[in-house]
Amino acid sequence: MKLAIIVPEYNEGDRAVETVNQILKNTKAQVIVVDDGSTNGSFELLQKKFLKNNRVIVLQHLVNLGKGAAMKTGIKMAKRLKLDTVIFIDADGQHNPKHLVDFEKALKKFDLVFGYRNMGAEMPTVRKWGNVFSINLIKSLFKIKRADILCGYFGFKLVIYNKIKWTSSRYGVETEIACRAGKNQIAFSEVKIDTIYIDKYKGVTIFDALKILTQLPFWYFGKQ
Amino acid sequence: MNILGVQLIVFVFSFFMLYNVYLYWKKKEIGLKGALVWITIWGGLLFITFFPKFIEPLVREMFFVRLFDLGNVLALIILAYVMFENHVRINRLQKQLSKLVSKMAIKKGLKK
Repeated sequence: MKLAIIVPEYNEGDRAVETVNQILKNTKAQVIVVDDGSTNGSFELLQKKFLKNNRVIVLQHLVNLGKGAAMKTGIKMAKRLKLDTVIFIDADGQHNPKHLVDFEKALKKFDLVFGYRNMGAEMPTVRKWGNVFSINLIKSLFKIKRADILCGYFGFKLVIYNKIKWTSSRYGVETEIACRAGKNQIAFSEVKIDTIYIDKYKGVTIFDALKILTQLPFWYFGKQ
Repeated sequence: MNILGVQLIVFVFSFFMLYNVYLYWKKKEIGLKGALVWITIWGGLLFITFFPKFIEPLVREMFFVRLFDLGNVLALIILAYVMFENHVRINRLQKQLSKLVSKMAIKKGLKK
């Protein structure tokens, strides 16, 4: 398995550097950081810190295109490097890189592996209920039972990329991938990860969730 | 000749828009064809506002009670068309921009 860890990043600065350092400690895979047009010098910081490290490639979007677009750039780079498996991890410190080992193990058996968080007290109530609602809605529409639909910590083998290729460029990528996986009935596994919330005001808002809902018919009736 | 409030508003707004069309044409942000289309639209609106009798037979033929009602329907149709056209073009531009930005990022990354 030739693995790439893809880290989409936007304005995370030191947090992104720390995340990459932790990734390097936990895996021997190639790390591809995609800076999505940061405005606070994050790209320059990352480039400076990992310039001499051959295991880290830092790419830069000249303008902000959204997480989904950054993920796609990461995949294109992985393909150019002839890698066959990718794992996505957020740069904001909400995904603990110690679980990468579990993902790598699971990816040996399954083409697609999702992370899931414990929906206990650590998860803000609005997110918890939003997540539960989405899980049930997606389950009834796309016949896929996920434990955590909004988790952005996941990986897959590139052979299935065309089946789950997303169109969302901003938030909604995770939901879209789950929907497409369900639609194509791709066998998957789930890995339990730590529930970490660093910034309550980041991530999917209620308005983003409503926008995602409007996309469901397109994913349901769309070609893929 | 008495000028109605609605005629005054259309007069001022149409001239403002015609002036805008002229400015954009001079700055070469729209071509001659585009400028002529917009001049026809705003000039036509101005003409109809002050000479409504000119198209009254058409209004009656189409079973509209007032010219204003026909104006409303036409305005909505034009707005819907412009919105659709904008939507398609913005989507196309977004896709092209994404491709270009991604391509540049990879090209630069491979140089490392």
